[in-house]
Amino acid sequence: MTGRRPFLGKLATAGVVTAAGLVIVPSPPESPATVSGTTDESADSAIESENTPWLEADQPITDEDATPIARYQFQATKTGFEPTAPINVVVPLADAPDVDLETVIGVFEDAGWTREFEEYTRYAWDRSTERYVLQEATAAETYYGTSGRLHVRCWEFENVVSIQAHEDDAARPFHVIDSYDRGRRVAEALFRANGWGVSRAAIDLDNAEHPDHDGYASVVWPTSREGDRELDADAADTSETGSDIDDGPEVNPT
Amino acid sequence: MGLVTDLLEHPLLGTDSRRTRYAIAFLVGLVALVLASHAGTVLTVGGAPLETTSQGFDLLSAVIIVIVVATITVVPIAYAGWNGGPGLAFAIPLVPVTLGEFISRRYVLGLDMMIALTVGAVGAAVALYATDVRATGCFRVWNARSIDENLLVFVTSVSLVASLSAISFVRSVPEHVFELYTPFLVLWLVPTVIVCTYWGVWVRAAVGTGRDHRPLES
Repeated sequence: MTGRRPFLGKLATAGVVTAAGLVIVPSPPESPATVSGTTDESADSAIESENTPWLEADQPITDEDATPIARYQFQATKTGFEPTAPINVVVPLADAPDVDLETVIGVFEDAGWTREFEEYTRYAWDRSTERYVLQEATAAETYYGTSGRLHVRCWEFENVVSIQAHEDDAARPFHVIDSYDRGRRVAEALFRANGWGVSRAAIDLDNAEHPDHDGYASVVWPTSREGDRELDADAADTSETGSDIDDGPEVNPT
Repeated sequence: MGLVTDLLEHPLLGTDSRRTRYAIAFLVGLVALVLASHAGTVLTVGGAPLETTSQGFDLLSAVIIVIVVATITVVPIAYAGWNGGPGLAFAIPLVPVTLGEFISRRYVLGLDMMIALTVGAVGAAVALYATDVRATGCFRVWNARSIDENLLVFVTSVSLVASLSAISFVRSVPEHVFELYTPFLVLWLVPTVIVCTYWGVWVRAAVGTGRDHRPLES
């Protein structure tokens, strides 16, 4: 044990180190308070669009070539491409010329998510070019997802953005999707917090997946679009559709 | 070389310079892996992103996530028990996390960084204790030798920084992020117990011997 004076010097040094450490450590990201994973379904809007008639189709979309929407994201394998996760949020942009993919992903970026991070490489099918396209814009809460993270991948084909939103589990040892539903709900909440219209589970993509995806995609659109601001209580009914989760694989590599 | 050798032998980094070198080499290798993976997303070959030219990049990402998660959650504590070194034990989880923040051109206290700070504080505290265990050969180190005030003050500082950051973190993050951090809260028992115990021993020694007695630290 040192003498009093040297020890007080050490304490002073420790105080400086502590203060410097507190300055160096960054602040938490400023996320909107709505990003709790809960959704106010009563606020769902009705979808109206002349340019996207498939949004109002009664029949499920069962083919990747039927619409510009990508129904799944795919993983490249030695034998081709295999679907790994279902698209669960769709953003039609045909009626919003000022909005593009960067605007869409910017909603997540503004919530404190990062655009560059460690993630697996995934693709989606583009019917217009007849090829699989690498993820065009992605965002996640953290770089590695040590204890889990929310994560989205986006593709824009023919003025439609298809989003695969999910919550990763902690990597043990690889990331596995813990929940599609929470990813979709948080995406909805983020868009709604930014003033976008949201219609929950509005399109049947026939892509139900374990553990909790009901096969439906929510539709999100910028509210600057004409004709779609009126609220429609019936829109909430579409959220009642999803309980037919199939017996798909228990492990979905993200 | 002398300066580097002296640095590697500093007790803040470890008790055995050879083991300290291994740990630093591990971190350098990890940084190289993360940079290589990032290069796959930003470099192009013939107009196509490099990562699309080989499925190896997908595998590389998977391997990096596995190694980094271990580096953030387990390696600091294992290193602390193996080689002491509160400074390096605290820094190990922060290296990949800080690198990720730089690559993504942001600097926020996200979940990865909060976990790294938490485990780093645990590693530093365990390293303080492990250093004394290795030096004395017994687990009741406070009965066998005096306290290294330099290491104790350092561990106290980093524990304070990490704990105050944790308070700021849990008060401001969304509920689902807090839920993901919850399992790590129990880890705070480790630095709390070790640091408080060491300061308790220090106070008892100070009261018992008077402040200006002979130096006891080894």
